[in-house]
Amino acid sequence: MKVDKNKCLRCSGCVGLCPQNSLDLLETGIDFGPGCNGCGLCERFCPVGAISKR
Amino acid sequence: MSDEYDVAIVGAGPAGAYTAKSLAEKGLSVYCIEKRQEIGAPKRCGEGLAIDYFGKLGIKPEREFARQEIRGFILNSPAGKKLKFKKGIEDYGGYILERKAFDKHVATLAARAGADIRAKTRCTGLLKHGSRVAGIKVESFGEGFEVKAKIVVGADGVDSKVARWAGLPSIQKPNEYESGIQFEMANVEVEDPQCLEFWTGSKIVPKGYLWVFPKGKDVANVGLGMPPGDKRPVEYLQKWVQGQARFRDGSILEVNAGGIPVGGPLKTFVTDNFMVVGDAAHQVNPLHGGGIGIGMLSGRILADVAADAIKRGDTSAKVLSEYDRLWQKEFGPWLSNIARLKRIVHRLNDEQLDGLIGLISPEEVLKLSNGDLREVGMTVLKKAPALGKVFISGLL
Repeated sequence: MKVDKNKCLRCSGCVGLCPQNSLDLLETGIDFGPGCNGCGLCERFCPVGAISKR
Repeated sequence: MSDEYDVAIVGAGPAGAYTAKSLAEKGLSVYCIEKRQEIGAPKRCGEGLAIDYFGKLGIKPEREFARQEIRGFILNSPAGKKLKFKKGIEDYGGYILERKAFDKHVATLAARAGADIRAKTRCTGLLKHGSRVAGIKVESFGEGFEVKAKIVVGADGVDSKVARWAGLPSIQKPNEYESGIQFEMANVEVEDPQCLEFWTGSKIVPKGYLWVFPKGKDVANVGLGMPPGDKRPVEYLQKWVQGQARFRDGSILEVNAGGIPVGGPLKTFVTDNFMVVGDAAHQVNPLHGGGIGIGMLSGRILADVAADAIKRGDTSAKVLSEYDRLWQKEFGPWLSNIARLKRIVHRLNDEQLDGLIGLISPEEVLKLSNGDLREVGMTVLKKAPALGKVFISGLL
């Protein structure tokens, strides 16, 4: 998955949802980590649609 | 600063900071960290706090962090029926906070009580002795170090990492988690600066609600919370704001977002040497999504149990689980009823919601928000049997 930093509000809502515990909010922004399996739950959740499949 | 404390708390929002204050007041050594460079911002919150929490928490509302006095509410049904309630603040009400100032205020109280609070300090992992939690690994300004603690507390929000590392099932489930989006707006017109506005309807905000929380005569938090739907939450908010003449030409001072746990609290809040509080523990009202007051009061219960356990020299899950029991006693029945109410309301279509808002009184709305469902259900059954049946069936 990837994030559009122009839209992302850094609310970390997606981080709370990731079943792989692969998402994190770092100082540099949302990071998907090596465990991301593309399930798309984060994309479904995002209030502003900042996340999409690579 | 030391490398060993009685309690290490991850997260310095209201729940974490109030837990820190409560523990420090009992004479325990407390270390409380916040990964962000600033406590209290950016907010992911509508900023409402009911009046009885101030009394229970021993916090006097001050202008600096209690921006707008609230004395009532206005419920808007899908078809636009209004149900208004307004009284003196002792009867109903609260304040819309300025979280930037409020969160720092609570952290300051904790600091004065003796807690060591550190901003721009992130927890990178749990220290373990074998399988037992023994403290936290921390990073601040690029330097890593370890802090030992008898008990570690996870107060790091809906996205809590620490709770997961400790083995608690804290990952948010998609069907128990709503998306929130909000504009803090200026130069807008609110219906009544002392009243919260609530808006409902499948065309406005499907399966959720939209709020206008005044922060002044012409400033307000305008936001909504809903489960994922056909359109993005931000699109529903923008459409509604554009459709209201009183908001259309207003200015946007802040854009806020966040996830809201609405499935009720975790089944247990503890493991060996570890406890959770606040959003990290899903200690949130399932109907309206508020958690500041519950989180802070939970922190005090946590502190009582933690202090006792440390004094006894036994911080095992068995001893710490007294926190679960005390929490259940204080909040369990009320929040279970609120969850029931939410399920009932979600079964209603727009027409039925119009019907319900049209026939209940403001006092009955207050009863419902206290979890008194049965009595109101019987009244609805008498006045509108078909609607009442849907209501009552949700109580079984």
